[in-house]
Amino acid sequence: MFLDWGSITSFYGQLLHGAWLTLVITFSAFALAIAVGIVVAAGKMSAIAPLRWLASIYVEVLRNTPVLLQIFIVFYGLPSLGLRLSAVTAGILGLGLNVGAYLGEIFRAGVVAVPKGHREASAALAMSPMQTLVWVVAPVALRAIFPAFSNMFIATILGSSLLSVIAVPELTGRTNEISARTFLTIEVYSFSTVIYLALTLGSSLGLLLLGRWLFPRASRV
Amino acid sequence: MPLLTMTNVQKRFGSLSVLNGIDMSVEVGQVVAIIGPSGSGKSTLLRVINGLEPIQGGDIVVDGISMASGRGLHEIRKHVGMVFQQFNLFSHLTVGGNVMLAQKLVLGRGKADAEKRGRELLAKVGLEEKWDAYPSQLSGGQQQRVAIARALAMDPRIMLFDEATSALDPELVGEVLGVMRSLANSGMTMLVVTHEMNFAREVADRVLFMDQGRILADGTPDEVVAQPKDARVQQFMRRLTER
Repeated sequence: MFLDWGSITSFYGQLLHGAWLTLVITFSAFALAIAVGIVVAAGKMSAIAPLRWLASIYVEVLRNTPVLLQIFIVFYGLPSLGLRLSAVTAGILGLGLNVGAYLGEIFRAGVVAVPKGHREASAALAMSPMQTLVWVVAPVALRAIFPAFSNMFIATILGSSLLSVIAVPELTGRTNEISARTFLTIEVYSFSTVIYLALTLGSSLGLLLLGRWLFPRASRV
Repeated sequence: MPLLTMTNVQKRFGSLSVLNGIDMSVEVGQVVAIIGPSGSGKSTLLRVINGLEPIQGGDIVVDGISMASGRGLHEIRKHVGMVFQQFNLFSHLTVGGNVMLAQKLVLGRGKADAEKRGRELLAKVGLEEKWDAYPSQLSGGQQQRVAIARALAMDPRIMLFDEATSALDPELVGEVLGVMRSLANSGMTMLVVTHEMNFAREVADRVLFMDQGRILADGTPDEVVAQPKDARVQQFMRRLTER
C-alpha cells in the first residue's frame, strides 16, 4: 500500500477553508436553533392548547424525518414557492430548524427540572413572572441542561457535513471534491477526520470549561 | 386598624373546600401561631395571604391594600415576607445573591444598598461569614436562617412562617426557633404555622386552632393550648401529649 502524504500538503489551504465554513455554518445554524428552541419550548408549555399542539407537531415531524430530507425541502422545495436561497443559507436554515426541534425539548426539560419552590420563593418576594424567568428559572434550567445542550452543539458540527450534498463547500464537501480530483482518497479523508476531531473535541473542551465557569460546582443541586 | 384582615375567605381545590369562610384580623406586632391537624388548611391560610393560592371568595386586606384591587397582589407581596418548610433558596446564587436579588429587582435598590441591608440581616441571623457560600454548602438550619434574612431584606410588614422547622433535623430546630423568637421580640408581626407547641405557648400572643378549613379556636396560648374549651381542640391536644 502506498500513501502519498506529501501531496496533500498543497490542499491544506482548501481544507482549512472548508473547516472555516463548517464552523460558520455550525454557529449560524445553532444560533437559529436556540431561537427556534425557545419558541418551541414556550409553545409546548403554553396555556393555550392549539399552541401546544402546534409545537408538538413541529417537534415530532422534525425529529422523525431525515435531516437530509428537510434540507432538500428547504433548498429544492422553497424555490417552487418563490423563495430562492443560496445553498449555504438553505443548509443553515434546514439544519437550524431541525436542531431547534431537539433544543426545544431540551429547554422544556430544563424548565421542568427547576424546583417548584424556586418559583414560589420568587413570587413571595414580589418578583414578576418575567423577572422570575430571567433571573431564576432560566439560569437554573440552563445549568440542568448544559450537558445535553453541549451535545447538540457537537451534533450540529457533525450534521453540517450533510450540506455537502447540496454542494456547499464545507469540510466534507471540499474533501469529496479534492478526493475526486486527485484520488488521494485515504490521505484527504484522514486529514479531514483529524480536523473534525479537532473541531468537536475542541468544542467539547471549550463547552466543558464554559460550564465550569458559569456553574461553580457548589451552585449545582 | 388591623394590619391584616381576612373577610369570608373561600378557597377550593376543585370540589374540595379548603378554607370555609375565614374571618380574622391581626394587629401590628402580634405573633399568631396557627395549629391544627394536617389537612386542616393551615398552610393554605398562609398561602392565600400572599396570593400563592388564589381565593374564590371574600377579600384579604394587608396594610390597607385589598387583594381584589388592581395591583393589589403585587403590592401585598411587597409587604409580606414568607419562609417555607423547604427553605426554597435559589440554588444557583450564593447566600449574598439570594438576599440581594429581589431587593434589586423589586425594590430597585442599588447593589451597595442591597449588600449593606443583606449583610446586616445575615449578621442578625448569625451567618454573616457565609456571604459567598452556596445553599448546598449550608446545613438545613443555616439555609432556613438565610431564607429568613432574604425575606426580611424586603422590609416586610408581616412575616409568614409555613412549618419553618418541620424539614429540619431535630438538633437544628433550635437555631431557627431562636431567630424567630428574637424576631418576635423585635416587634415583627408574624403568622406561624407550627407543630412546635412550646413555641406556640411561649412566643405567640395568640393561637388559632384550625380544623376542616375553619378556625375552631382563637385566643391566648393559655386559652387554646393549655385549657381548650372546644372538644375537638381538647382531643387534638390530648393526642399530642400522649405521644
